[in-house]
Amino acid sequence: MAVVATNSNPKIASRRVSIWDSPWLNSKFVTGGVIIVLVLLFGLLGPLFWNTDLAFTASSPVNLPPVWDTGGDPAHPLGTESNGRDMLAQLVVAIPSSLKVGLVAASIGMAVGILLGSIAGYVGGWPDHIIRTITDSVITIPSLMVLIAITAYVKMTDTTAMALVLALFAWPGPTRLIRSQVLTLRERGFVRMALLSNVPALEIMLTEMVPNMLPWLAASLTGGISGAILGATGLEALGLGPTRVPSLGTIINNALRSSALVRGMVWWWLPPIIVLIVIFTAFFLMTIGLDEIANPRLRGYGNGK
Amino acid sequence: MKSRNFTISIALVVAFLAACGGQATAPTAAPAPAATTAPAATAVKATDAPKATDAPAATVAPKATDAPAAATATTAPPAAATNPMDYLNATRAETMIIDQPYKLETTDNWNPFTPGNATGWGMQLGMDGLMYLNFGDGKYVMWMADSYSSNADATEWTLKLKKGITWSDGVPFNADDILYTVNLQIGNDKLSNHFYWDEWLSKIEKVDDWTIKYTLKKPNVLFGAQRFGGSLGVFADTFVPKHIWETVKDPTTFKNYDPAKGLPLGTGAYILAKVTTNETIFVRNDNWWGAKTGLAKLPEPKKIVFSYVGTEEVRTQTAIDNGFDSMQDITVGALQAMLAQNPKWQAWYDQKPYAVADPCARIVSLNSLKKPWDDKDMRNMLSMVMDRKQIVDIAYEGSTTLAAYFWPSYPSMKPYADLIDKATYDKMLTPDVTGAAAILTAKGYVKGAKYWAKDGKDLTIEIQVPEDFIELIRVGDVYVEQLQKFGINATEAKLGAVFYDNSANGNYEAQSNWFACGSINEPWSTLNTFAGAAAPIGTKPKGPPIDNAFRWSNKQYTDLVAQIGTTKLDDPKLTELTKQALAILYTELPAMPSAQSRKIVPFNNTYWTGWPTSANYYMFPCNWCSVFAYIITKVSAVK
Repeated sequence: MAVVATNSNPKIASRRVSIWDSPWLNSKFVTGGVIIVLVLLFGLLGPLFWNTDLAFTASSPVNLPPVWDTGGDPAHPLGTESNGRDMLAQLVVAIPSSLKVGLVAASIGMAVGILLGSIAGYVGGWPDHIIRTITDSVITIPSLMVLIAITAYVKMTDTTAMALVLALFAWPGPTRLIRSQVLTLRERGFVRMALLSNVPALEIMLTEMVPNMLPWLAASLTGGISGAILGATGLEALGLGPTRVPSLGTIINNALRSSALVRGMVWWWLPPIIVLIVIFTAFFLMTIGLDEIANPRLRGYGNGK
Repeated sequence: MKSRNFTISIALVVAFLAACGGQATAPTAAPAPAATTAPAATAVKATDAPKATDAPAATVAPKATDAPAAATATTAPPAAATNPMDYLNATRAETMIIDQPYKLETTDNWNPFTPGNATGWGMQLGMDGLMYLNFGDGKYVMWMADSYSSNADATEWTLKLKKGITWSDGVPFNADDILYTVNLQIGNDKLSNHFYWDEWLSKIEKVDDWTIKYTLKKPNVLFGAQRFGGSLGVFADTFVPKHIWETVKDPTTFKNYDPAKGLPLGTGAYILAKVTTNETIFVRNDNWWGAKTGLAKLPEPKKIVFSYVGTEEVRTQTAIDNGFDSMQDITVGALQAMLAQNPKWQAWYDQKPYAVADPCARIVSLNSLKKPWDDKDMRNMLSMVMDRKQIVDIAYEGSTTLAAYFWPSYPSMKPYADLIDKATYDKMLTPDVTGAAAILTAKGYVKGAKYWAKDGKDLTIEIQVPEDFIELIRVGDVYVEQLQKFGINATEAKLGAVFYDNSANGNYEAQSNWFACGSINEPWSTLNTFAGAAAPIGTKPKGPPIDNAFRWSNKQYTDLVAQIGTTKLDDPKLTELTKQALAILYTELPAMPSAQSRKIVPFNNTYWTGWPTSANYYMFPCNWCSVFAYIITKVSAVK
């Protein structure tokens, strides 16, 4: 397997002797990754420490303030909302649920993107024309509008259904990206060498090209995940998500529906928004970190790795 | 790639913020009862009705026949003190602003007899009713009607109109307009009331300009209340001007909308001046017949605006800033925030429950043609799981009372409510999950790790709710959770207009709704909603007593209800008949009572005062009902 990010600069080559000198240890990428892991751990380990049954309607007293406020109850540290749901329990249930939507939708989009992008870029000709035309057409469609229409008709019983709907618009971006990468890669020496060696096309794609595209794919995936979470949150905030199991957007929808702003119930809407800001920031850091990993020219000395 | 990601992120953030800002969930509202709902009947005899306090003005009211047949709505009001359109420039202190919880979808259909019309956006002030029922004392305020009476067997009814009533173009309103309207509805099955007349009316005759005689096909002791009092006594029947409509080619497509020509034309104190999708503006007609004849004072607001501003959050903030003088139904939390920030607002009560009891009890209707809900034991099982106290505490945040009736728990309904078997009724006030589990076990269901299942299939139920109706959604939220905890995989489907189509066509398992609405002070109207055959799925029901939307059928029950409908309210037989019908209804449970509804209708005393409250109960406080035309005459400007 050839490595595309070779560098003949002796100064840089000398920096690569330590294992701590890997471009994957990009500070932005690592910071983002650590934040995501922490957020994920909160969601995954939360059920061990907190009763998630409290995330459902009528499980707790209504309208309790957070524990630090007058009238707060330690049994509900972040307070409760007007349908008798504990805010902390809702976050514990909602975080993995929202991350799952993002991961599933973006992964499907990426898988479709790899398949179509590789065919279009490698095979060329009429398959490329067809795939490119469809991709370019879909990319111009205002997806949120279409998603609103679709989710109004599709029964949103769980987050998987939401993820599948979002995946409908998650593939054109990766398809274009991968097609352009394949177009450049197929002209490289190592690919031509493999071709001359009579390596089958599928093998060339999987063993020669995909590994060389990993940073781009990873950057596209993290961007896709945060895009899908944003899309899902938007739909849920509109009241189009699953009704029973809490997700970050559903919590916001419940707050909007219950006039939280005018009632001064800050704890109904602020916690999910803080979590969303943290998640988006983390994915953004990961994406630009991966961009720098994939593109050495973006890396400056002493400016991250 | 960086810039691409950045662009996508920005675009999604903008889209998300836009989505948040445009959150579509509408606050609890108070739609009029479904078209299939029987109108309320009342026990008030015509002789009980308060007499009009006025003498008709002798100087007005030329005979209808004197009016030119081809008169148009452009006819100038005689001796108009002011051009009503000048009131479009009225100051805030001269203007009343009424909150609307929905956008006006169709701005140009003001035909009161066709579906989807805009008349709810203020024509309650543009058209007068014959009489209005005050739920407070159970008596009628006679408005355009002077009196009504019936013969001994309730097959002939006579309506007498007040003299001196005019349309807002100055043309007299009289018996000809009523005959014209009724005949128009009889002659066209696409217009409202057609099927009612088809079932009951044999003949309508004009006795003189102010007297109309209705001859019925069969006795109906409630006819006067139903047709002269209108739906529930607060949604009056509408009449249209013969001199305008007789020139209309097709009344089903006629829009009745041209403010420049005075359309829609009514007899009310206000005239439609301007319409947009967010507001309608009505201006006062200083020549209103009611003030001239001494029926009531000329309402003080020169301009009345019906305004939609957005979600409940925005509505409440607008109210706090005195942008409204009256609101439609809002939630308890929003009201409390409002009262805390603007003490000029008032609710029906000064403290919890704040709300006035609504005449339409909430129910969960079950489709008796869909398995397994065709089995009464399974329907009873669902009712046993329902924790009605929790619904009051959570869904209503304590703003309503605990009850399990299909009708409102008004004092006037107590004699009939007491006929329900006490043991049966009391059991409904507390959940009985053990009993529910026993029924499922007997039916062959086995409790798995999470859900009850039979033949390897989990027991599921989908409860449909109208997406813009917060109250019903919250009832659905709580009940779904109760079912889930018990082991039934219940889900909630929030639906738009299709909710009502599904109800009509039977495309539902369960719905959280109010479709047994009707009774206020007699039992027949609510009981009748369950009468008749089960309308086949996929077919719209013609309505009881032919068939019903609950898809439930019980001949014995239907026969009993038919007898109740022809039994006078003071007849001792009524008690036994009602008791038998209720016994069948509460055993079969084609629907189950979920909650007593309530309305929080706040009023603002910053610019206007004299609003109805529990301490001053002169009329049901409903700004979307016809009775608002009465309330507006009782309200005064704050000096």
